[in-house]
Amino acid sequence: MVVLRFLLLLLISSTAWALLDDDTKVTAEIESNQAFENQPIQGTVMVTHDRQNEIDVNSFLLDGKTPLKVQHLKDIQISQGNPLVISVYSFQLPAQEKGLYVLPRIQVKIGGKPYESILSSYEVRGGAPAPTPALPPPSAPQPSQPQQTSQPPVKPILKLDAFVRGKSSLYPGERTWVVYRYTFNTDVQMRKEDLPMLEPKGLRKIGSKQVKDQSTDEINTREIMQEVEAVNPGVFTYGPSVIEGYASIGNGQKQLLTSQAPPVTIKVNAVPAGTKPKNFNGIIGDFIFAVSLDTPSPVEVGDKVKLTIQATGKGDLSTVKLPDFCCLPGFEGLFSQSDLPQPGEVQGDKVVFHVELRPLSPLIKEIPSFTYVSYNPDTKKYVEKHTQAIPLVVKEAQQLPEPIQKASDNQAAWNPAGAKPVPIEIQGSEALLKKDLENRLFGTWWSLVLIPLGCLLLLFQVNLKKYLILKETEVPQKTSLSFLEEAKAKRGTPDECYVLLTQALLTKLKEQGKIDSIEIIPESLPTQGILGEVRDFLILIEKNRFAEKQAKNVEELLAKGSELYEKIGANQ
Amino acid sequence: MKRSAPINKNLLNGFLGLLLILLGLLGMQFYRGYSIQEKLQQAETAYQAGEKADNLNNRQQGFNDALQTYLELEQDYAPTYGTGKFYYNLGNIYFQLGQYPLAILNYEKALNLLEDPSKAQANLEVARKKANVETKAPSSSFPYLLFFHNWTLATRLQLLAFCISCIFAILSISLWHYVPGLKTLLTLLGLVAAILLGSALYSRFFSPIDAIVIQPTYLYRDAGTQYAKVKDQPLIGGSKVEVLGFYGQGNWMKISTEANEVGYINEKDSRLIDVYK
Repeated sequence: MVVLRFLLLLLISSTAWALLDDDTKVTAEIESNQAFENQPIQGTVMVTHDRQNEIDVNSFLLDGKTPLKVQHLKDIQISQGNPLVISVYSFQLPAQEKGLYVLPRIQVKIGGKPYESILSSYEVRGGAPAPTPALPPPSAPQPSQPQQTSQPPVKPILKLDAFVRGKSSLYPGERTWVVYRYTFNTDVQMRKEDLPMLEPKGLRKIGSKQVKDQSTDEINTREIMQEVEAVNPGVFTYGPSVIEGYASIGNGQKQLLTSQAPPVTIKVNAVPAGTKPKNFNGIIGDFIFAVSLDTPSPVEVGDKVKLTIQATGKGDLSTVKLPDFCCLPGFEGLFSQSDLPQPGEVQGDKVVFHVELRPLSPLIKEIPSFTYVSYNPDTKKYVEKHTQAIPLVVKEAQQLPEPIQKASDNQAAWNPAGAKPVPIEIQGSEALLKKDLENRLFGTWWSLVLIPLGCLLLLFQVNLKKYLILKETEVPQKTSLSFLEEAKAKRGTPDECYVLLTQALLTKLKEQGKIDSIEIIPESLPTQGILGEVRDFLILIEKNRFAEKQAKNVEELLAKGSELYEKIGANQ
Repeated sequence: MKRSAPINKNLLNGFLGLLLILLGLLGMQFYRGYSIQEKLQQAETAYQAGEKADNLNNRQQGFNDALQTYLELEQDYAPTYGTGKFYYNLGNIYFQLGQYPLAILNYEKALNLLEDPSKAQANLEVARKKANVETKAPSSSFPYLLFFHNWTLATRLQLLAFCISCIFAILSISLWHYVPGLKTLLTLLGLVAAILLGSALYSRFFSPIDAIVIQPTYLYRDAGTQYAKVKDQPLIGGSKVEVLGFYGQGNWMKISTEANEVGYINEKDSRLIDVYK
């Protein structure tokens, strides 16, 4: 059952992930200022999809069951080189009474996969539509130049999308872009722009916002982008974002349009503090640092030594920083470094740092290896790596300096990255087995536990021995019946038979609770009742045993004894 | 009979459940062992790739990969009473990456654990030379009579466990049977066990604690940088020092160098050889 639930969870999460990863989006809306009671209601469906994924026009369903007839209006390419296209369709709903309604989800198949819009509300107003007053334009910026049209009025569109381009789950220091996209088809004079992502609380803005316009014959888009950097852990939600503007609808008339984009959430994760190495300086990802020496060796004490350090790998390049060389093992006290910070330069998929050091001692034999630590969000572990040490010959400074080669002479500079490595100077490693990772059996202090265990074992044995000795010395407790059986078996030896018969009767009396012990002489038994009968019988046996001529034979006595035995049993 | 049937069924279910749990645990143990072995193989392959690399970048890549795996394994295992091969290999990786102080630290740990320390000793000397640390011949402070004290602590504890087992076995035999000579044997084993226990306790609790300086650091006259330096030259990374105590909320260590200079260094500049000899 648990496995089934787990598989179900896995299926749901993978599906959700696949959907999240998809750029395809369906939105449907009805302009409230165009819906009037007792008139058919016009609506618009906008489908953002990859050009290669075709929309099945016959698959539009209202609320998952009612087929919806749509009319294709146009396709709008978002930008050059971008495979995404916005397809605009119109549809009509039957006339409704005045009031507030919910537009059900509209489903459509795109590229064979079903997609649906989210629920939205619209208002059906009373009375006939009145011409929209031409309001004076507000001072807000205009998204675009007006489209010059002398054609019949088109239905104006103003739509706002808000999203994150890049990762929306970040670690401190990582960067991403927040984007607002306006989609419109006519001149719009903006009256209100509530765009909280452009002033994101909890995140740091990097540079100023960037605006990118695209237009086709019928649809214009404007993207406003802002790069942001995660600072402190937390979950930050921005929105909903709203824009309002007056759209020209021809003949000098304007119409107020409103569009609202749902809230956008950006999560800033905390790096684990418990296992954080001391020398972690905020690098997020998995990078390799390659160090190359740009200055030819040998150098003199105090000369400038230029290093190029390139970081490549998977992760956010903006988080890559160099460690502080002044405090690194092998550098401290041996090299001096400029106090100026050395920011990296992002070049494609790598960050390049140029570092200048000055050796302070002729004892220096190399640019030492240094350690850098990054946090890999994929494995959720800190990764510690080391650069390769680079041999360097440092000579004492001359009194009369020799002509120095130009440090920037790239032909003379030695790049160790491609150089042949020196032979290995140490003996090789051992092949490890799992047992080499564990402590040796009985090789730890736990082996002292053997002392109390041994003591317990000895104690047990001592007690066992005592018990066995006691058991051996103990006389087996026979029952009256076993005495009787034994007496019958010994009828060939009358003396033994009489003794056993006597013991059988006395034991029987004891078993019945009539006497306390079988160590009793027959004469001391009471003379009345069953005890009296047993007394007389036992005295008879004794007399018979020691008489010269036995008055009764063994068989008779055995029969009598057995009868008495039964009688004691019956006489409770 | 009818009433006892459910009990038997419950017992059977319980037994089957227990059996399944045991099988599951065994399977997990087997899988864990398998994945660890695979990880070790991966580290060895990376190390060999580093050794055989034909340029510095590939060499660095190989050794870094091996180091990453080893550091992960060290977090989970840290075999301070193990065979010592792990620390020997870790020392080799640090050496190949030019981290000589850390290489020395791990070779020192390995020396305290390896049955045959000749390779680790040879590599340690190379690493000390590379780090410009004066090489001193390893000397034992114990005379030949105390030869057993040079055995690894784990070996002594294993022998102690063997002696204790033998003592209790002999006591058990003598409890049930009389065998001539057992008393003498018992006395001898008791003596050996007492010597081994004393030796192990001394190693763990009374022997000097050593540390390796992992980055150059000055030796101060007291716990703080405001105090004068004992000497102008810093202690070189890779130097072995004896720890005499901790001060300043554990941030400073009082140490004695191999040249018998006593002073204080910052705790972060050194690492304890926390594997006992």
